[in-house]
This record gives sequence, C-alpha cells and structure tokens, in this order.
Amino acid sequence: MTDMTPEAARDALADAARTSDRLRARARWASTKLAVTGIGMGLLTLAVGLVRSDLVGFAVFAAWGVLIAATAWWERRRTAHLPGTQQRTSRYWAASFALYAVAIACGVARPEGDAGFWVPAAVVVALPMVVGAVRERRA
Amino acid sequence: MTPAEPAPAPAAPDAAGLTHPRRDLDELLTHAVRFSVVAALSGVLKAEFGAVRDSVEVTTPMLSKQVALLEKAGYVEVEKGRVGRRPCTWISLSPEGSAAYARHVAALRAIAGLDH
Repeated sequence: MTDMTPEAARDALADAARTSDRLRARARWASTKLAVTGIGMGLLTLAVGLVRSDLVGFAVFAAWGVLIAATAWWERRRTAHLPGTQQRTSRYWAASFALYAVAIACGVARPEGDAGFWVPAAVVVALPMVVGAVRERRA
Repeated sequence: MTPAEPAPAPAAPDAAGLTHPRRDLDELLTHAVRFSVVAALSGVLKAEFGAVRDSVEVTTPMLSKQVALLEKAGYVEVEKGRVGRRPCTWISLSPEGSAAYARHVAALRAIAGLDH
C-alpha cells in the first residue's frame, strides 16, 4: 500500500490534468482542417458565381482539389486523435455541402455576376464548417 | 479533471474495518510517469509514441519501459502504424486501463480532500 499525503495527491492530480491538456491540445487538429476547408468552400462558391472565364473557373476547381488533397495529407500526419472526431466533423461537412448545392441551385436563376446573392451565399456555405472549427477548438 | 467514467464507489471496509482511500490507489499508477502516461491517454482516442513522450516530458527509453509495463498489465494497447510514410507506434488506453485510471483518480481526490 502506498502512503500519500493530501498535498502529494493534489500535485499528482494537477500534473495529470496538465499532461492530459497538452496531449488533447495536440489532438485538436480538426479545428484547423474545418476552418481551412470551410473558407475554401466559401471561396469556391464565390468563384462559381462570379467568375466568367472558363480558364479561371477550371483553375479554381483545380485549386479546390489541391486544397482537399493537401488537408488529407496533413491529417494523415497528425500524431494524436480525439475520440469521435470523424462523427462530429462529418455533420459540418454535410451541412456545408448541402448549402453549397442549394446555393448553386438558387444561383443559376440569378443574373450573371450577382454579387448581392453570391457573397452572402459564400458566407452561408462556409458557416457550418467555421462554426465546427470553433467548436472543435473546445473539444 | 474528470475521468471518462463515473467515480467508483469507495471500497467497503475489509474484515479489519480499514477504509482509507489510499487502499484504492492502483499500485501500477502510483509511479508518476505511468500515471502521467495514462492521464495523457485518457483524453484522446490514440496518440503516437513521440506525442505521448513530449506531453509527459520524459525520454524515449523511459517511456518505452513504462509503456511496456502498462501494456503487460493490460492498461494500454500498442499498435504499429504509420504517420504518412514514417513507421510509428500508436498507443491507446484500454477499457481496463481507463477503469483503473478512474479508480486511481477517485482515490487521489479522496486523499486530497476534494470530494468533501
């Protein structure tokens, strides 16, 4: 049996909490990924609505593909993972993609280059992932 | 700090009527480094060996030794994997380890007088 004073017990608990916090902080990478891809989706939405050039449009979609591949590569290099990350983050992805589909469906009927529609639409599309990024920072 | 599971009830008095919470301390986890390792893993699904080492702030040989003891006791699970293309070792807390950690934390809280 181990003798332990109340002070030693408090110190042990405090040290355990600090150690746990350090590793959990390293595991909160989903916040960064959601923020980056959320902003990327917003910019993609903006480009779809406002860019007239086919070449520029192709470049925008190519850049989006590179962003997704880069974030997937970055995620594979994370060295700690929180439980339930995929379940929590998938709903933010689903919400942003659903809003993107709605924006595109509504936007086809709009006049060309209608910034009054596409700028707010881009913000709305990005919003679920940005909210998710904030919430994952506190996970 | 909140354990993943509800704090277990204090041990009932034994035949000699001894109930001090120090009796609920886990012998394996009274070692400071092993307790820190388990504490670190309690908050994550799994972590790479180097991440645990850096969080616990010990050397690689020290962590290897303590993880081996914890694995032998069934408190942690060790899995070989990759981070990108680099081979690595993933460590996670087992259900037995999680339960032992919760009991140990509850005993420490009782000793520290934090549950009054």
